[in-house]
Amino acid sequence: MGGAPLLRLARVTKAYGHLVAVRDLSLDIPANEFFALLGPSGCGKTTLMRLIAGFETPDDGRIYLDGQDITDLPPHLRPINMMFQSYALFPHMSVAHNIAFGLKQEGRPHQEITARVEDMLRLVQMSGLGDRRPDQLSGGQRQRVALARALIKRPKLLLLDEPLAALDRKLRHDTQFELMQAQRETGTSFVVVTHDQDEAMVMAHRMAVMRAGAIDQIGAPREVYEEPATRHVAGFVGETNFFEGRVIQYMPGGVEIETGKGLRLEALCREHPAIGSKVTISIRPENLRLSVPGIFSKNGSAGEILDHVFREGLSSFRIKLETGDLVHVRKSVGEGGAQHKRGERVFVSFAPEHARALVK
Amino acid sequence: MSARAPLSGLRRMVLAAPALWLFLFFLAPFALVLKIALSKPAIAQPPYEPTFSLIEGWQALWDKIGTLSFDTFALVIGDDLYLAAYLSSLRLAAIATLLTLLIAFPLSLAMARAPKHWRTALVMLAIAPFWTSFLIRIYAWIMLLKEEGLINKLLLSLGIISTPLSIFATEGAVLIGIVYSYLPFMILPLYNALERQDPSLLEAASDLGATPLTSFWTITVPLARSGIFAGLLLVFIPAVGEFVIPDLLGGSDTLMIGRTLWNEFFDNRDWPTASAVAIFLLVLLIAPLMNYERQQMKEAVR
Repeated sequence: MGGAPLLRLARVTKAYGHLVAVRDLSLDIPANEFFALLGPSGCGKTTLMRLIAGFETPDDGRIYLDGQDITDLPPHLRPINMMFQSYALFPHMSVAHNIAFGLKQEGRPHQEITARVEDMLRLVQMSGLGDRRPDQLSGGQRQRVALARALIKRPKLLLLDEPLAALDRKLRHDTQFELMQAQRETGTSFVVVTHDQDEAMVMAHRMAVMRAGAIDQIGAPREVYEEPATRHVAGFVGETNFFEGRVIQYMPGGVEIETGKGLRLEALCREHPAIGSKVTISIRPENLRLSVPGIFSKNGSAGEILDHVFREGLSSFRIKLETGDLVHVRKSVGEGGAQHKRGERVFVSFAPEHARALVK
Repeated sequence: MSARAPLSGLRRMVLAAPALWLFLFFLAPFALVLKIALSKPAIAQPPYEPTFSLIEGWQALWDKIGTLSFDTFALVIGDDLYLAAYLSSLRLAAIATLLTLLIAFPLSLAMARAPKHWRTALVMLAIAPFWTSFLIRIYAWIMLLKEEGLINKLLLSLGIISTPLSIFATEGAVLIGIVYSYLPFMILPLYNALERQDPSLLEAASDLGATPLTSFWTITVPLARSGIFAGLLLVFIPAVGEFVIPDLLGGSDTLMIGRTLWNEFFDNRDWPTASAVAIFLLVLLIAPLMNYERQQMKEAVR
């Protein structure tokens, strides 16, 4: 990247009474990036976004945009725009007036405003609908108007609060790609706040997974998926299976643990937990192998298939291990996903390099 | 609600109830007042003629109907006193209504923006004056406004003024009385309109670069329009015909149509003139109401 980041949060803290919504949080976002803030409700992601927009003032820490301290700047003076979850379209104004609102505040000449509104309507594929009122639009159209209104001032940074939450499934899927395209075409940095890991995985260049007012991990979606830093990240981003146990010995690049039920498992580990300390192994459903019991007896356990669901070319199995643990296994048809049946006894195992032992 | 099904018996009755109400308590009395307005004053009981009855037969009744005339209306139109009273009433009511709006808007806004658990209590406070009699409250204002009243005593003792203000028995006192009495009727519709506004709209305006003042004029006020209209009508219409407040707080020179009406009825016992004055007042007030109704229809269609 090089140079100063577009947005820098430096040790920002915000509390409401006793509730600390954002705790000593630092974050850099470069120009022209699609960034996702991901976390469960109440993790502080919405507060963080409102701090960036200027609707809240941090109790501590500073916020910089393009190297300039904007911490004390009111929202109407920040070159940052936001798309609200409710869209917050002005109900008494036409679509065109809604979109033009930001430029009018800048006192731009009438002709320029008209031309740029037309450009925006084209960008969001709403040409010819400028005279409609918000209540005459479908949910998807309102979402586009909200996007156009937020982008027309060519902000350096666009905040999007749960941009797809109000759309139905099919529309959500298409809109994800439209948002990505809008980000590429405008070159504006997008910061999407979402609780839906699918959205973040699909759209974001990088994502931050938040919990309890702090960031657990920042990285590219694939990196976060494959190398989760904490148990929370592993469980929140994608599906996973957990095995809890104590470290019994070190292996090359990893550890071997023993679970409470006497199961011995190996996994990679990036940290150095002490022998005897508690760790959790996370293994993704697609990285679990199914075989005939007795042949591969390493790094796994025998079990019985409880359920088998076939969906979108993938077979999902719910398997009860002999230790009593329930695991989730996913196989494509090519991997032999169709050959196992409900009630069948199988051996479930995994390669240590596919699993991660997590300390936190 | 697409196909228009024939009305069932029950639905007919439900629709007939308000129609019957309007007929019994509005149209029928209105017809009576209109008839009196078309009659001539008389020293009799009732103090006008003709009086309709069938005792003298159908022909006599028909002849009597023939004697009805619009003379009284012509008289009311021709007399400058009535015109002056109408204009003065409209002027005072308009000023009072605008003052009420100016006071009520910030109050309603503060109520609507107050923490949720306070709002019910604030609404109760706004309508608390209704818990005491209207007349007693107006009499209380006399005590406050008189030359030797509480306000003058206070201002004198604080040394803010050296001679007592003469507010009582002026148009100013009437305005104070109207604003005070009708404030809740302005606050309630305004509060209702403001409280429904989505706070994220103001955040969106601010986010797009609008100063708080711009947001107020481009978002808050236009979206409160229906509440403003309702409040203006609820205050203006009764204020035009107001009788008690100008009679108790106004001076002998305070000209309002409600008072003129009272004088015609009870001092002059000229029922036909009083009825004609009342009918003019009604026409005067129905015009803005119809306009409001049309606005509402337009809003609903959109």
